[in-house]
Amino acid sequence: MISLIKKMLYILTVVLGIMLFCGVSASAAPGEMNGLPASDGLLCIDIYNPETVVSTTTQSDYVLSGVAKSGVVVSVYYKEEATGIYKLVHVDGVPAVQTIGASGYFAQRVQLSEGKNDILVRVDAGYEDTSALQIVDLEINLLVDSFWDRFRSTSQNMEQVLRNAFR
Amino acid sequence: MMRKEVFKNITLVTLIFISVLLFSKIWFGDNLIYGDSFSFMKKGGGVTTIEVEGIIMPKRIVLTGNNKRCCILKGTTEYGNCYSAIKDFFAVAESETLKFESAETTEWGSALKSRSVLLDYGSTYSSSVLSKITMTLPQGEIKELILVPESSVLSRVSVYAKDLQGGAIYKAALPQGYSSISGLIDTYIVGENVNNLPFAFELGFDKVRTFNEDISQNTLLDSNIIIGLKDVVTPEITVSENIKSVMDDGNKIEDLLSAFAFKIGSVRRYIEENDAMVFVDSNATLKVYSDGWIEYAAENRGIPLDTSEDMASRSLESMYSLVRRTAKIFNMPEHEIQIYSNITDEIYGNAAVYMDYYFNGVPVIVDDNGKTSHTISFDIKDGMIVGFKQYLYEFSNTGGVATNGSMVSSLDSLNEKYGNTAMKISDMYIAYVCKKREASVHWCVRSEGTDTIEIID
Repeated sequence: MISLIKKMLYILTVVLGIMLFCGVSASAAPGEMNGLPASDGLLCIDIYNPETVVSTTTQSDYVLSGVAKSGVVVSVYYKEEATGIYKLVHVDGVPAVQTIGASGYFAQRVQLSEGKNDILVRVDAGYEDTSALQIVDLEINLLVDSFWDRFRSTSQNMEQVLRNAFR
Repeated sequence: MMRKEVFKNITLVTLIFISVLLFSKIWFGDNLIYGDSFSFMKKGGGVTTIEVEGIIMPKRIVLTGNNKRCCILKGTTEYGNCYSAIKDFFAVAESETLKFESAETTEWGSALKSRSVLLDYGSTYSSSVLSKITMTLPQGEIKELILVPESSVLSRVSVYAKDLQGGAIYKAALPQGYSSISGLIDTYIVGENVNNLPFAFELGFDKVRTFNEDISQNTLLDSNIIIGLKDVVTPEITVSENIKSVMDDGNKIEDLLSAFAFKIGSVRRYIEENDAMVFVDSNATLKVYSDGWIEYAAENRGIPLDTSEDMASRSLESMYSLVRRTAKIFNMPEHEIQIYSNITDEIYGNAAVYMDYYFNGVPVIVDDNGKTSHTISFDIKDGMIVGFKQYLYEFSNTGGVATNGSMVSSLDSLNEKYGNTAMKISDMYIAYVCKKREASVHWCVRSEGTDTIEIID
């Protein structure tokens, strides 16, 4: 009887430990995520920059911005194309994790690679009784300068040709 | 009888001699005309480059190009050469007969994001005043100009001006100057990547864009505020003053009284309990505080501003002249000074005009027992200076630095203080705050439509 009680207590302790661990990891920004996590559908953040879910830029050093509920934790991930894993962004060695202050403003630099960048903004509403998530999935396409140089050069050449034609 | 005649002659000769002596003293000695207010009259009249250019130069010059952005502040070492090149450009622009035409509102933001030079004058100026140091500008109240080198083929530079009164955007195209403005950008853009210094409108912080009722955006920022994303490092300074040694010099006291149009012979003077030296005549009171500031208050007339033609510019010259003269009397070094108040054409009427010292490219303000003051302030009434206050501080670097959080973290502190109060911020900057001659570094904000500065702790 006593050994049975001991066994039950042991199992209960292990189960509680696992639940506690899961709870902790659910409310902290993980270092990486395998695939797109589910969202609880709460609206805790509005992304202002970029303005659309799919966008294009020439700036490799890009700033995500928006407003969010005060007190939430916002973290930014990029998708590693080779593995499909979302990894936490680091800028100058500092993880891209912010607790939103009273102003509600959110601004985070990310370094983009040429071509398509899958960026994920994760929100943990830590102040709620249950940890809730909002996920914003963004696609930002980086066009490098050489593209714009070719475009500008072509348009300037065309402009000169037209001017010569009308002289 | 003979003696009477001799006595009369001697008296007459003595009186004539005294008259000539006094006449020559007045003619060659005392100023008949008050101070330096009318110094421009000696130049033969007409206002071209006004003396007050030093206090209405751009507060900052923002250069964008080559995926980089650089903000050059007034009072820093790079500023002089950079501004000199811009002045040369305006001289060329003024020699052409340029016509400003209306432009689309969206062109302003596009111009800022493109390869450009933004001149931010810090305050709004009537175009009549700003035109004196730039080029003939469209009618209105202007705070910023943008120069855009548009085309190497056409060698053209576009100049944009925004009238803050009516909200209209104007544009003029100068068919030259491309290489000088473009070269300026290439010379000074060596700093941050452009996205380390985004404008508020680039991040969407200038408008409420969220439709989510649960997300509050109580603070809006002026579109052209640069959002610093990093912590700010500023050199620390010490503050000192030189009042006591100057006030022991009788000649200096006479100069000071003369500068404020006191009749020296009829001035009463005494020392107050707080150690302030007080000078009083029938018209006004002048107090010199041992803590390092002077204060003038007129009972009746005050000190007249020059309100001849071009009144706003002339009035500014009068004010600046008094500031320089006072600083010279107290042996102060020549501080960079910048006007803080908005300057309209009616400034000579009734207005409060504030100016700030700048040191290390950073403005200096004063915390006077919880009340924020500018280092120089004027009260103007009916074309007269009826109130004046100037802090007579000198500054020097300690060698240490102060670190303040990023702009966003400072906005968080501001919102914690004011809760859900809606705010529209027209300017946000780092400043030295002097409290009892101790200087600390703080973020400061200016709300739209006011002259009030809020210091963020």
